Amino acid sequence: MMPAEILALSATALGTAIRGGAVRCVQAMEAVLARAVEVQPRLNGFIRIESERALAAAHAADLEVAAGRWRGPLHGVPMAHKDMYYRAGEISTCGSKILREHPAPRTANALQRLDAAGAIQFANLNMAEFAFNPAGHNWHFGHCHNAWHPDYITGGSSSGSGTTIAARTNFAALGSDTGGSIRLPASFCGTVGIMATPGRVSRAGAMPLSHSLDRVGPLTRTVEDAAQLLAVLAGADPDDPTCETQAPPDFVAALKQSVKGLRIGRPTRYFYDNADVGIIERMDASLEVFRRLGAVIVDVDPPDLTAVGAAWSIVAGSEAAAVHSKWLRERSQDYSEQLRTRLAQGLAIPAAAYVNALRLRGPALGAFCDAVFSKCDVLHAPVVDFATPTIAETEVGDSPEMMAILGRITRLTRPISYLGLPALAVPVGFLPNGLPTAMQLVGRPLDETTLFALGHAYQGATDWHQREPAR
Amino acid sequence: MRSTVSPDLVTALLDVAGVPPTATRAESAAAWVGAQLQSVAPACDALAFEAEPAGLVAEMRERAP
Repeated sequence: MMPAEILALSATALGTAIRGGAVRCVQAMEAVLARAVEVQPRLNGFIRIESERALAAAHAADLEVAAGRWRGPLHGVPMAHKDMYYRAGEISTCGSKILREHPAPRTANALQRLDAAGAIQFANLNMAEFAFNPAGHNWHFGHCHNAWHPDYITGGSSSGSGTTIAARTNFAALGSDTGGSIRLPASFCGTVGIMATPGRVSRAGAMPLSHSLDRVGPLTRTVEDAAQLLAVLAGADPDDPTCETQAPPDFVAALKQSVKGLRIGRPTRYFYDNADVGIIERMDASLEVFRRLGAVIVDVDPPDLTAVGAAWSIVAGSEAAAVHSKWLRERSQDYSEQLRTRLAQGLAIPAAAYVNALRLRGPALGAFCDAVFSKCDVLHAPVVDFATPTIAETEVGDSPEMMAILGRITRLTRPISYLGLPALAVPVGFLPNGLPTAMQLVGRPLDETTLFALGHAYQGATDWHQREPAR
Repeated sequence: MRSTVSPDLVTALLDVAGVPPTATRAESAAAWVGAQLQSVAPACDALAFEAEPAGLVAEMRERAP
């Protein structure tokens, strides 16, 4: 198989090809490394590429295949991850200057699980500084550029995850989502992203931003890959006491579930209040696909989520300020101007307001479920309600309009994060500016299986996920 | 809780935290914090006396399929 053919495969298809002997692990690794060298000057998606080590690991994986040893479904599949997943003794910069020379104290549970399944990490990916910027910008390592057009943002904070998968120089990547950081780059870059229910995936060994809101999850090329990755990542972990202790369902088997008769809710308020015409057209077209697949589209009337979005800001702002308070005091000059300003304002949030914002989560979830999930199985909504902006349009530093611009990017994602619901971002086509956009399918707590069934059925009926950016 | 926050209060809180006052724009920060407090105030006022942060996990388990 030629390198271009290998790079066109999904992670699942590559795993199958390796197992069937059609592709060697070294071939796959050489293909991604060559593509990485080619695209890095244009996209800046990588912080560090470990070519020699990755090739050695791929060679060892080939020897295992030859000996009949099979680690798992991701055996030999090359992956690069957001640079906030620790590997003991190695540097995870977290996109920062502060941690640039700080060896990680342990290996992240998520990396341990991917290693055990046979995946081979070949690089660490660019990301927003300390994962706190939804445009994806990084003033220390340089901004990431969108694989579909380098003038445009990738979305963040998992910026390198989104753009390297879109550029076909990565088969799957860990991201993290606190207020949209998986779904936003998935939408802006045209990839799939799954933010599972809190507790599904261990956060141990992942950089903290906001303990109450952080979630670990993958960005992938297909929904099938997302289900496969979540099947590997999900499960109890004694090092993360918030993890679910019950065994997760079979996410891969869920791909085969029928979607006939499933009720998909189209929100009548909030999600479309400020939506561009191009976004509405793509969302309506995707609903029509579901209708043809046998799903039933119903209108739902969610509660006003403005207060929920503000409560997210209070929780995330307070917890991020707490985590960074020592460095804000001792190394404030080592933050970018924008992040320093944003973190410092979290110090001005009253403690009682923070606790109340946490107390509000349960009742807010109950009200949302009553209004939405009493009428439908899954909520369907845009990830963002406007066309992808350029890097220049979002380069606002710490100016007074900073929070308004950042807040608009996360307006449709942070309420779902705050409510603790799972969400699957799936590309639904292209906007008039040529950039992709995505829907988010939002499910009941712990109901990722229905999201996978719907997303996989959608991708079986469309080809958006198979399109590649020009090189 | 008041939703108007004084920039001087922001500066004072940064001082308490030992953070240089130049680390933020006090007026913008005060306006932003005030706007968030104003937005959540009615919902927080309506909370049951007994509501607690752990209510989220209880609600998630109840709402799971």
